[in-house]
Amino acid sequence: MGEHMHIELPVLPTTLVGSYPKPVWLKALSRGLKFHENRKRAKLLKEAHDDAVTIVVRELEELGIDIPTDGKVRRDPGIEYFAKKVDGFKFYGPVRVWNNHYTMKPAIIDRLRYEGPIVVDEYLYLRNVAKAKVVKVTITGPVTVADWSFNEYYRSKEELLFDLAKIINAELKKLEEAGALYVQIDEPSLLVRPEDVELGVEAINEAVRGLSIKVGLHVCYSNYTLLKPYFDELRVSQLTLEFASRGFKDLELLEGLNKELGLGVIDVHSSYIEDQSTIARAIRKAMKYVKPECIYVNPDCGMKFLSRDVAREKLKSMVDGVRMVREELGRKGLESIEFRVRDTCP
Amino acid sequence: MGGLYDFLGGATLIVKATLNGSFPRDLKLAKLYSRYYSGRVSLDALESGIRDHTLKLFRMLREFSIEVFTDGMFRYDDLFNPLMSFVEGVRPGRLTRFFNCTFFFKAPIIKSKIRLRGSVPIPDWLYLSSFLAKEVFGEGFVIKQALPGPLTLATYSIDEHYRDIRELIHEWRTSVLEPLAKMTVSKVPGAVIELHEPALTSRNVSKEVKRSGITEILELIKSLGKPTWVLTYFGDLGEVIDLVSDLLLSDNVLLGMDYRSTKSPVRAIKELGVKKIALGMIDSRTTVLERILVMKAEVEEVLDAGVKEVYIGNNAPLDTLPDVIAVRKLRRLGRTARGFASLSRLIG
Repeated sequence: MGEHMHIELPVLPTTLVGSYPKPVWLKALSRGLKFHENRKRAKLLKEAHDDAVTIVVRELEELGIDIPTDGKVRRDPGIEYFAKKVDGFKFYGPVRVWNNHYTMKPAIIDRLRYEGPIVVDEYLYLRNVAKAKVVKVTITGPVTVADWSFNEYYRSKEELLFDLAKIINAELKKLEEAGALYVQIDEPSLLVRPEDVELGVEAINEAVRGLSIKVGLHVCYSNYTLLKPYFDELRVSQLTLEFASRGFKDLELLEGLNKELGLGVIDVHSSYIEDQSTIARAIRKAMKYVKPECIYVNPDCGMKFLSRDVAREKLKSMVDGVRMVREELGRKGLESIEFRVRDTCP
Repeated sequence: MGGLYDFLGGATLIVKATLNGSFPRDLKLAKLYSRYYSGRVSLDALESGIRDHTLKLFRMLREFSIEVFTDGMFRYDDLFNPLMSFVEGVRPGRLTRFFNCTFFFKAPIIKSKIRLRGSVPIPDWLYLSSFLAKEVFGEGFVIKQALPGPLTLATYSIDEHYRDIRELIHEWRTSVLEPLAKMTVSKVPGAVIELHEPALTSRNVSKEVKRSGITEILELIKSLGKPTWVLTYFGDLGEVIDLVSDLLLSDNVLLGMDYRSTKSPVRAIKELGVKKIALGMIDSRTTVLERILVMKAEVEEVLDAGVKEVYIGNNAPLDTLPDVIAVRKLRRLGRTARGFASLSRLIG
C-alpha cells in the first residue's frame, strides 16, 4: 500500500458499513416496473436509483456522517449485483435465507471471468453527489462470494477463491483509476469455516495486491479469536467489526491490533435506539486497546433491515456519542487525523 | 397408512424414497405470510395458501413415488421456529447461521425454566396435513413430524438460566419434546416423529455432551414406544460410531446418515450392523444433481452390507436450495427408489 494522501478527517470519523434503508417509494417503483419492457425498465430504474442515492447521501450528510456510502440502494440482497456482472454465474431462482427473506444465490457453472466494471458506476455517481472529501464504496470479498454461491465448476476451493480474488483485484484497480480513495471488502463469511480462514486471508491479500488506496475489511457475527492470528498478515488498512450486538465483549481481542478499527456501535438487528452516552462509553472502552487516531465509528453492519426513521435516529445517536468523545479528545489536542491508506496504524 | 414397520419376515428388501424435513417455501407463500403479518390478508387466506402449497407438494411426491414424507414444513420459519413461540421461558435471540449453510434462524434464548405452553397447534397442523395426504395418496403413505432433537436444541440455545448443558438437554426432552411428540402421535396415530440431530455429528460438540443427548433421545423414544427417526447431517457418522451405536439399543430407532458427508458410509453401516437406515443421498447444499445410476449403485452396496430397509432422502432440510433444483433432485430420488420397487429379493 502507498503512503497517506494528505487528507484530514475529524478524529473518530463516522461512516456506514454499507447499506441504509431503501426509500419506500423505490421498493414500490421496482415492483411496478416489472411489467415494462427491459430497456425502458432499466432506464427508469437507473433514474430512480440515482434519485434514491442522492436522498440517502443528503440524509447522511445532514446527520453528520463524515464518510457516506450510497446506502447500497441499487443492490438486491446477497451477491446478485456481483454475479450479474461476472461471467460464469447462473441463477436458478430465489433461495430462502431466513423467515420470509430470500436471495438470488447463484450457481457457478463455468470458469469465472472479469467482464468489466462491477461497482465503478456506483462509485462515480456517489462521488458526484457527495460533498464529503472521502466516500466509501463496498464490494463483497472472495470468501463470501464463494460461500453465497453453489459451486458446480471448480474442483478446489483454492482455485475458486483465487479466481474470485483476481476478479475483485481487477475491479478494485478500476475503482482506484476512477478516483476512489476508500473501499471496503465485505467478508461476513470469512470465519465461518475455521479450517479455511488461512486460505481466505491469502485470497483477500491477493484481491488487494498492488493497490494504493484505503481498504477496509468488514467481518461480523463471527468468532474474532479466529481472526486475531491474521491481524499482521492481512494487507488491509482497517478491520471493520461488529461489536454492539455482542455488548462490546471481545474488544480485548484488539490488544495489539496494528491497523485501524472500524468500531461497530449500533445494533442493526434491533429497533432500540442506543443512547449517545452508551456509544461514547463503547468508544472509550475501545480506546483502551486501539489508539483514538486509529478508530473509525460505524454501525455493526448494513442497516437495510431497519425502518428509515429508526436508522436515522440510531445514526443521530452515533454521531452525538462520537461528538462527546471528540470533545474530550479535543481538550487533549487531538482534533483531527490523517486519512491513512497504509496497512498499519499508527 | 402403515405397513412400513411390519415384520419383514426376513425375506424382503425395502428401498423407499423419503422427503426429510423442509421443502423450499415458495415465494408466493412467503409473500402471503408477509401480507398476513402486516394485516393485509386474513388467517383464512393464509391457511388456504398453506393448504394449496401442501397439496401441490403431495401431488408432486406422489408423481415421484415418494410415499414417506413430512408436510414440507411450510408453517416453519426454520427447524426451531415457531416451535419456540410455544415454549415458556424462551425468547428469540439474534440471527444465527444454521451450521455452515447460508440459512439463518433466531436462536432461542433460555430466560427461565422451559415448559410447553398449554395450547400448541403442531399436532393439529400435522392432522390437517395427514388429511390432505390421504386426499392425494389414499392409503399407503407415512407422514412424519420433523422436530429438533434435544441435543441440537440445547446446542443452539443461548442458555441464561440452567447454566448446565446436560440439564438443558434433559429439560428440552422432558418439558417440551416428550409431551409434544406424544400429543402428535396421539392426534395422528400413524405419524412418525423425525428428530433432527445434526449436533450428533458436529465436531463442535463434545463426546460427553453427545452422550447425554443420546441418553435423552433414547428416553424420549422409549416413552413414545413408537418407531422414531433420528436424522444426523452435515457430519461424518463414521466418526461417532461408538456413540451412536448406543442409539441402536432401541429397536424403535431408525438412524439417519448423511451419505454425502460420511467418508466411508458402507464401512460405517457395517460397523453399526444396522438392518434399517435412512440415507441422505441427495445433497441439499449443492445444485449439482446426483446421478441416478450412481445412487442405485450406492443403494446396492448398502443392501449388500446386510441392510434390509433403506430410506433414501435428502441429507438435510431442502430450504437451502432453489425450489426448481429441489424438485429435480426429488424426482431423481424417486426414480432411484423405483428401480428397486420390483425387487423383492430372498436373502440369507
